Amino acid sequence: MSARFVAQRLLHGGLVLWIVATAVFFLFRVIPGDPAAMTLGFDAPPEALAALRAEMGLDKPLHVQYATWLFNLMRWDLGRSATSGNAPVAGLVFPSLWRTLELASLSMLVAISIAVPLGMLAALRVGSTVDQLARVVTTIGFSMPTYVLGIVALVVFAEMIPLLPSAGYVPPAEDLVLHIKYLILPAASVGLVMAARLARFMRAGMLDVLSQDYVRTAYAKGLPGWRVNARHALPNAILAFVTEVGVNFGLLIGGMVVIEQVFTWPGLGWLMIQSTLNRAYDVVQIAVLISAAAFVIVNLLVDLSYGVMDPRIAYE
Amino acid sequence: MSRWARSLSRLRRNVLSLVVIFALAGVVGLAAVAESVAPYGPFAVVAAPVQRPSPAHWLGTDEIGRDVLSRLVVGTRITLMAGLVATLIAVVIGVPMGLVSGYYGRGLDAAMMRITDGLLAFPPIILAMAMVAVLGASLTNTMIAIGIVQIPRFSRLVRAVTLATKQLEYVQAARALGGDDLHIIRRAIFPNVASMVFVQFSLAFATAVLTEAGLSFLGLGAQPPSPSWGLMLDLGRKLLSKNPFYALSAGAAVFLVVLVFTLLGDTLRDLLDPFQTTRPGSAPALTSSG
Repeated sequence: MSARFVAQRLLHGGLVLWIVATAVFFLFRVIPGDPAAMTLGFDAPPEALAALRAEMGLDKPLHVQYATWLFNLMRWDLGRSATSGNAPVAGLVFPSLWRTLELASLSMLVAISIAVPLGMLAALRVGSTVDQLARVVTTIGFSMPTYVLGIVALVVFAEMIPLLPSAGYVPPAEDLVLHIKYLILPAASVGLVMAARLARFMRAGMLDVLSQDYVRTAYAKGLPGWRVNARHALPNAILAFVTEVGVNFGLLIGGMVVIEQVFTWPGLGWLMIQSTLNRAYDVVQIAVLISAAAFVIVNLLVDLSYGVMDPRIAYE
Repeated sequence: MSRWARSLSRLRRNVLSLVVIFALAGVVGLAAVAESVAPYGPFAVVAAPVQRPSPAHWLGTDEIGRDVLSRLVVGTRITLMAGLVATLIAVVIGVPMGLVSGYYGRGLDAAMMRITDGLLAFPPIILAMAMVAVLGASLTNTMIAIGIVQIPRFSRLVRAVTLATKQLEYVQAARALGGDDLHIIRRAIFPNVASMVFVQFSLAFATAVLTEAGLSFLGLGAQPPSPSWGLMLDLGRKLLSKNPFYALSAGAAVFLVVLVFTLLGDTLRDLLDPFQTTRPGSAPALTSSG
């Protein structure tokens, strides 16, 4: 992979992060009403309001506020939340981000372990029962909201057959088994819906590869079918699939918002909703920023990993 | 055979398309006559709270004793309206953006594509959520936010088609004959773009319905006592052990409407895009995650 390719992608990633930081800054400046008054209440004494405004930097001109915002972000100072008892915002946001990533990773694992075999079988036996089944499953998966499947899962596995706890969270250090039990239903709900999307890509990618000349060559030199599939077709089909997994993983980080609410999983999305309802805009602002940054960084990593796995890309 | 005749014969061959169109007519029809077919008023307290299904109340009653089925039926209208308004906002802004971007290129294109990049840098639902958090939680703000988030779907698609079309000989001919920019965009390029926009409209509608229900579920969209499906899903999930049909029926309703519009998008693509060689399942629909 050429250094130029890496530099190019990093530069583009940095540019997008700057756009994101700017967008978030201006988005949270159009809030109707005075953030200081919302924090302290509208009947707060004017001196207290003025003091809080000064502390939040709201008394300075907009361009100064913007410069301060960017400068603080660059030296990794996410500030303290005036609306949440002056707690450091980083201390609220990052533990939530890890919990979201934990749930998203496990969901993706579920999705991949279903999508790869299903998509492959469907592509190897076009028109067969497996293919028809895959088609029905993927069509349903494309239209099934994860939160609806989550609620169905709750009804079946927590209410009707009480195998698992309904919704909640326990830190792994406290009770690892219970921690995992709480993870199963949300990860399965998100994973199944995601599997439907990914299986469709796996099938299309595999079909694409199977029609290539090198697969015909592999057959022509007398390799058995399974060996052609395992050595020649699958690795190439996986390539395009990995990009799709990466892009969808990025979307998952944001897409977790609703499922986290269903299962009261205290991730980043859950934090955003709670903070929005409590009007803690300084927390929402950073949470939105971190969520978008995670999305951008995942997409950047996908680009780079694609360059590693397929050197042709890096030289284009 | 004319293009329309060919499309029509393809439609007849495709039973699924017919089923989809009937389902669409059913959903729209239900929304139109909702109040008159609903057995009870959507806001009327008609029985004891949180009852399981019975002959009088097929899906039981909600937390204050309103008929769940009646609220679900009337909620169809909110869902379709939210989907329609949000998608129209995205079309009305995104399509001209894409046309101008693709046709004029240069600085204008660069500026508009940066706006698009900015919108695409966020996970869609997070951006919509942030906008609603800033503007205030209401159904109107939710529709606006969903519309804005979906602009890139249309601007990018239309830009790509415009870029490709403007190179074609008949567009060059229109210019050689003295057509001004507006004439060329309207008469030579737009017809090419229109069918793609139709397909995308249906898929964007599905995403909009999914997102509206999600945001209302989170308490950021429609507010009580609105019979919004997302809101019913949220209230119903707290009563799962007493009347599971409350949440499940709202969830099934969201699923069915999204399914109808996703399949409609696929059907429209088959009908309106005669150049596409459709291999079953080869082109994944462009719905976003929800």
